[in-house]
Amino acid sequence: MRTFVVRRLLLAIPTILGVGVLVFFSLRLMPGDVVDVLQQQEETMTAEQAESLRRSLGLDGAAHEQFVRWAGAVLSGDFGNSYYTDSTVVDLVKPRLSITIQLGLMAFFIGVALALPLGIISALRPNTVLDYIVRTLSVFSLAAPNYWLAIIALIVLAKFFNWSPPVRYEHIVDDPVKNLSKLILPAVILGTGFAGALARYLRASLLEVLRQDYIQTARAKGLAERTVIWRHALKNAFIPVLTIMGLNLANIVGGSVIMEQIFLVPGMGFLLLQSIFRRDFPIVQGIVLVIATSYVFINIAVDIAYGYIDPRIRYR
Amino acid sequence: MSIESSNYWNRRRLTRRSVLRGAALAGMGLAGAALLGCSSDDDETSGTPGTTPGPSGSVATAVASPVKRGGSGVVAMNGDVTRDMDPHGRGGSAQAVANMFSHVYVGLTTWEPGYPYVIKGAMAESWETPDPTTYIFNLRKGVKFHHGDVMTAEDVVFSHERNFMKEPWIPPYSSWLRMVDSVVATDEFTVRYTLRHPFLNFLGIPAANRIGGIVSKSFTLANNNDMRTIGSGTGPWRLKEMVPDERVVLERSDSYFEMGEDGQSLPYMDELTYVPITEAQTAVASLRTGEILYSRLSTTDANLLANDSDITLHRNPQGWHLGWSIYSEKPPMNDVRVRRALNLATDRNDLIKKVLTTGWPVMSIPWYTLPDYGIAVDDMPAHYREPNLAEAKSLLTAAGFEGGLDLEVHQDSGRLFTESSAEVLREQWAAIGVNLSITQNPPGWSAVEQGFPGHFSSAPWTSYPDPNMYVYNWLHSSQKRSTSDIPRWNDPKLDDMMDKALIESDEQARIAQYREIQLYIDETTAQLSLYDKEYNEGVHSKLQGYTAHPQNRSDIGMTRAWLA
Repeated sequence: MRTFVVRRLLLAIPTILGVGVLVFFSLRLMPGDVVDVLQQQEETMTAEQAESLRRSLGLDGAAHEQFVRWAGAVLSGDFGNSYYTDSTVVDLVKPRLSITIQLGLMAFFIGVALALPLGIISALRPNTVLDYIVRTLSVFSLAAPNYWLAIIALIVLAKFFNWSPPVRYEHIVDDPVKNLSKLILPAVILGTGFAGALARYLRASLLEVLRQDYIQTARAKGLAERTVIWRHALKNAFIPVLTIMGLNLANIVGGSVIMEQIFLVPGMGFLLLQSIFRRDFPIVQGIVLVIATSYVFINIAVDIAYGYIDPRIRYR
Repeated sequence: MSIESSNYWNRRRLTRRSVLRGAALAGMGLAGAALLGCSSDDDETSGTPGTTPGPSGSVATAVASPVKRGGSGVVAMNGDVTRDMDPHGRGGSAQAVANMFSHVYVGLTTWEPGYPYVIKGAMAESWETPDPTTYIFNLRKGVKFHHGDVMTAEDVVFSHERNFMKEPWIPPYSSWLRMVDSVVATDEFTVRYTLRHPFLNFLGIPAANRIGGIVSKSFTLANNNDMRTIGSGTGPWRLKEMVPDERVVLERSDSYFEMGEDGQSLPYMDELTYVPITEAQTAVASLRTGEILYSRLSTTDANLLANDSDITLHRNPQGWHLGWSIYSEKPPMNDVRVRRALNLATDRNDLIKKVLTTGWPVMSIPWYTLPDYGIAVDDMPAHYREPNLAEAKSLLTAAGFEGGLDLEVHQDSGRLFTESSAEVLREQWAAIGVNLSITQNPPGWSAVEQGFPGHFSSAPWTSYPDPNMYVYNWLHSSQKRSTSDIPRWNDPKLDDMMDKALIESDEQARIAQYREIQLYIDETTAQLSLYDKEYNEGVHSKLQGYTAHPQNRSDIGMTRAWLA
């Protein structure tokens, strides 16, 4: 297992490096840079001033030269400064990262809390009214775009219940009630999308397991149904579901951009969106690296957990 | 024990027939609900295109409660207002940003709230004009900047000169001050402006938030001449906190010169927080519940809220307008017959209906913010109310384009209504054989670098306090396209008309001259003026006393508003 973990960690390095190369060069393929955006806004900026600004921001020179400069700085922990506010990328991203993680974790746990009982009941009561309801809701949650759900939720809650989430963000330590009031709705919407997929996977996996001979054997031995389900069936059904959960956790963190925009959550996703529009390259590069790194490490954690849950798997 | 136990759920298995029956019933129920729900009258427009409304002010005015002091309000601002608080900064090119720093900085003069423009003294207590080119401002004594220093004439001179600085950036609106020859402090509290020529509306210039804000010379220089993230003016609000992309928090200044109804200085509220909200439905929902007390609204959203008893709507023309600049140096746009044909073939009412829902045709100078200078819809040439396709076709034939012609426009992305307008114009001009191709510019695309391709560019013109600014900057041959040598327009007769009107000191004569200018611009189609759209503001009943302003200056309204 140790060898496996070390190998995976070593493999993570070229993966993250590859992501860095991709994001760096793909940004430079986009038309225009931050100076172009500023020039559009300021008719009075002369060509000389634009070039001078480009030089001061390190945007002159060939793309590969810029990349080498940036990569070297990143390796020493310097992700650069925002072109707009002059703050460091770390200073801008750090407070927002915790907000996005909080939102992601809330959505994840809400999704799991919804999906597990519904998936289990649906599998244990196949082709019943309850099963059809669960399956229909799962498909609906997968099909309905979460930004649409978000808008509908805002409209309905405001019009019929005279409630909307607070517009200002308060840290959970400073004001837990306001913090949770602000994040609960986007977390529920993100979580239900995730729950739909998870419930379907769990149902299919559990149904598959329940058809196995060892389940028949367990029942034939006279074990209580509850013991059969919880001790034998669920543990095995959970193995592929765990992979899905891990991948979706990373997806939730990366996919919260639209929710953060709609619900005014000052998280990393919102900053990423603004930075793309403004061509604030250092911020985009920094955030994409953070997201890529989280994907890589979550996948490693899932694989390790996989090995512990399934004794048939031996990592070398 | 049986392997498969019989229970309630097993007995209630669904068959295919029962599912189909249930689905059919549910579908009929949903269809019935949709038919009932779609019969709302929410889509009624508030203005009829083609007629001339007056500025309507409040549509539904709640009875104001007595003035109350204190409290903290949260309001929405659409757009990113949290980057730049420097009154001479780059960010001032965006109206929303300019409105933000206007809370902190005030000029020599300012506007009364409400329509139309009425000037009054702000940092200047009084002024004298011994001759048409000299203005002597007597400053209010004892006015302090938010950091504590007393404002003097030296600060006023410095602030004026700051509009012309080259480093650390070039402020975008120095051209608004081109009539000023010199600004001198004659003593500690007196400033003399000498103009190059008479300029009848000069008092509106120091009131303009993008150039008139007064900063402290010593404080600004001590901060490397960069006030983007620091605020210290003489305005009604101090900058308390600015978090990029999140909020701007303003707190009441105790030393503002203007008094409220209760005899104490404005503003009434202790604290005001602006939150940038880009998603319209978020703003609407938050306004309904009172989470925010104010927001700009689209016409559709304003119509949705029209029957909400907690919301007061302020619905007025925006005060700027959309038009197309014409690259007249390029054939065939150098032929007046081609330009005029396009003008006559443009159906502005149809354009307004399809793009805006509510709006008004406009010639070069908006009639609602400058009612004397602008030409009202009913008095405009006939083709502003109804296109004249026959004459348009005959002009094109005379110009040698009987078989049609191809034209091109480049559109900046991110402005939905300009993009939609191009689509509608393409349809309309097809009727006279003009094939308009529309190219969408990606963000960062530069017209200068690309050599001004196409035959037009479209842009909204901002709101100005003087009629000259709507025409001179765009159409005088001395004005070049940015960082190029190409004049925007080149017509000696129009130059002459504008030069005369600029310096005219008799108001009635000046009004007549600007009306002539507008008619001449239309006749020669020096530019294609299209429409102005509605500017809607929604105010929750928790906020009382808010008044709209022709320049969409929310600071003027917020300073006089209180929490119910």
